[in-house]
Amino acid sequence: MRDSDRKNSGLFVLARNILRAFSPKRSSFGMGIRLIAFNPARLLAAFAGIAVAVAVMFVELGLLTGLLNSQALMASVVRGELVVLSEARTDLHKWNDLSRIRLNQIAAADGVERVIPMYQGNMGLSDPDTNTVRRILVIAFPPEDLPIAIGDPEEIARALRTPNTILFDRRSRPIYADLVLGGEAEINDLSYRVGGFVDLGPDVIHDGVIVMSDASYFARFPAARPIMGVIRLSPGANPDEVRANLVASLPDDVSVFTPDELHQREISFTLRSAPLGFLFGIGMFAGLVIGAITCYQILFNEIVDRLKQYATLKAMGFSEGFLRGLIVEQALVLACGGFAGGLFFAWICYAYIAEKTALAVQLSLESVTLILVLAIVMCIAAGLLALRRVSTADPAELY
Amino acid sequence: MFSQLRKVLSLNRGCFFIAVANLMQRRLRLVVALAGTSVPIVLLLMQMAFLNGAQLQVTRFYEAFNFDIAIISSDYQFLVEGGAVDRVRLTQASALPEIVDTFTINIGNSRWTNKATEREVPTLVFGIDEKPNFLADPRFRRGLDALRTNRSVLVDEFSLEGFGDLSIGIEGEIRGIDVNIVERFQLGLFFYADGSTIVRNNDFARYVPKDPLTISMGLLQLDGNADPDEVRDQLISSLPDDVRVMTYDEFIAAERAFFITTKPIGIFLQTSMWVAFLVGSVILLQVISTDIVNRLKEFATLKAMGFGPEFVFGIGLFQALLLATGAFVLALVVSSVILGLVASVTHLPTTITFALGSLAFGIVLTMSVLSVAFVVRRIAGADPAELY
Repeated sequence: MRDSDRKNSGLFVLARNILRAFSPKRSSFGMGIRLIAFNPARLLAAFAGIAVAVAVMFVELGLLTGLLNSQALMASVVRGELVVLSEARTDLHKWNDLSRIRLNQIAAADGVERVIPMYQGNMGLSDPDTNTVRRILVIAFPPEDLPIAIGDPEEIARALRTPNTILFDRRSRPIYADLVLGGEAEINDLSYRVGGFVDLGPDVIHDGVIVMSDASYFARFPAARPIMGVIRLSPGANPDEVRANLVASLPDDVSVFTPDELHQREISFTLRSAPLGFLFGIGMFAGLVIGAITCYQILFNEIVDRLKQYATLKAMGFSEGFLRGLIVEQALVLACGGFAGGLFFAWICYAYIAEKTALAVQLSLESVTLILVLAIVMCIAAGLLALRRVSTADPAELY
Repeated sequence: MFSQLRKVLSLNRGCFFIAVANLMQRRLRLVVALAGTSVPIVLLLMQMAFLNGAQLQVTRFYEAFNFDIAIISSDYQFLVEGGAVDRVRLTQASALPEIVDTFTINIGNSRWTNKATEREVPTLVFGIDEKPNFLADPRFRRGLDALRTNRSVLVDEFSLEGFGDLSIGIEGEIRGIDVNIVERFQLGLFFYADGSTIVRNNDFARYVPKDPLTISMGLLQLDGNADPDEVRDQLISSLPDDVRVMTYDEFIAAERAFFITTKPIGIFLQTSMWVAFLVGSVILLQVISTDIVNRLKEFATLKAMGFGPEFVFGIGLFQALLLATGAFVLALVVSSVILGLVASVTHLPTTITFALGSLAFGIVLTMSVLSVAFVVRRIAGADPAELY
């Protein structure tokens, strides 16, 4: 290895080349772009190749995060500083309930303003048009205080105060009877009035949700016990202290979490112990690896194919640094162009999945950033590796 | 004519050997090309096997039974949301002379208590009749023999870990009732439940309270000479419309279709598969055609030596096919390792079956031929003078 090579290696050079590629002072700025735009058909093919690699990364990542977020949906809509669950309810799809006395004990603790109980059960919603009954998740709570963010609290409270009124989740999968405001809904063979709509959305297991007041729920299930308690703290109370006090004073049949912790716990549960998490985890991992390798492959070929031109430039006396700048510039253009195409394709896939499953499969800022970074890193790595071929390219050998 | 054929054959043999020599010329480059080409194939094989495994999984329970016709409720959606069928429908159905025997299945949700930890986990409970002629799965048959007392249950050894130790002889509870594990079966229905247990129909109502006049579904066995399609049509016209009647094949197909088109996980897996197919094809096209184009110089040299364009094209084609085949074998090995890991963790039947493998290989070969067609003009136009 020559001395100049050693000096020019590593991250330092990389950063310098990126800067140089975009420095307006550089006289050849835009030359890299002109180089790859020379053959538009070929440029499009390279864009398409990178775009599909980016798309596969997006789709696999989106499916996994969609699955995880939908499993943890309930934790992400909690309106309160702390949540209390039965200690045995190790994931949110279990049905272990709480003893009511625990909620009263918590309500009496220092720093706690109030505890809102939430009840949950499955019921059958009849569809008179098709004469079928579909299972639906029923959530109940005291109307005066909403434990979960599913719509305007005052409107929901007003509607639920009328006995035997239900609110239907308008994001439920379209398998249920057509419910209209003010109309009737037959649930477990009893008639209810549809008092309005809420926004929650289904998850992997439940297809739809109905909300009712705790009083209406008790009318059906007099012995119902809360599945969850949402804790509101008095102004100025420190959540960590309150929680430490609660944990110390209560028997160990309950667990207390902040909503964020509960969300995290659900996600790690799904990833760790549910086969579904593993299945889609592997899918995502494979998607990322394969997408990244493909990005790399396409860019590498793209650059190696132009070895002759670079060798010519070198023979004309251009410095190696100049060539590096050119290559990094091209790699970035290809990465960005391909990324834009991939993003568009992924957006269509996400819309399709969201439409079909009613799950919140969305492009998040995190996933866009992650994949953009991955694409750029792979492109630059490909560029750098191809660079080594250019460095050794001997004009005499090429002609 | 005969000599012409021989000429073509010898020409092709020439193409083949040159293609091999071309590929083998630089071993490292060959390895890189093989690895690169196998990457999209791994993705394709994996996603195909996931989808196929999931489809097999959702009907595993039903496939454990021998039957010709199923009677299900008009509410029936899928295994765990099956609605209820009036018992009388089965009696009405068996009035047809073609029907030799009937079988009832009950399906419900309950809770399993792991006695070691005192933790409850949700479980599916299946109730079956004591008619071994309906049981196709040898584990189910063995289990039925073992179900001697009203506290005996069979458990799915692929239930999730929350169930605890599921060895034969272990005591557990279903809905607070003490039970004893007498035999185990293998289903792994994690798409729908944490685990499952099987009991006799006589005991079912103790674990899952229900209306004794209804069952979850009825299975029918027909006389060997009867045509299932005809019997199904007769039953549809004679039974009220609170039930649906399907032949075995229709029922299995409908159950799989429901999972793929309606359940979110099925839609996820299907979308993944289509994306893998699309992406895999495009990338294969690109990788193989790049590899061919990279050898343009060799092609031009051959042309300069006086070989015709067909001959040169033949070499390109053989090269692409060889590369694709090699990469497919490599991808088969890599994806088998990954899928083996997935199968050991999830118990999904994710093996690459012969049909799946052939389909994937067909896709790969098509793409390699297409990619050569893509660059055929460049090969044909390879001008020796331009290259030197």
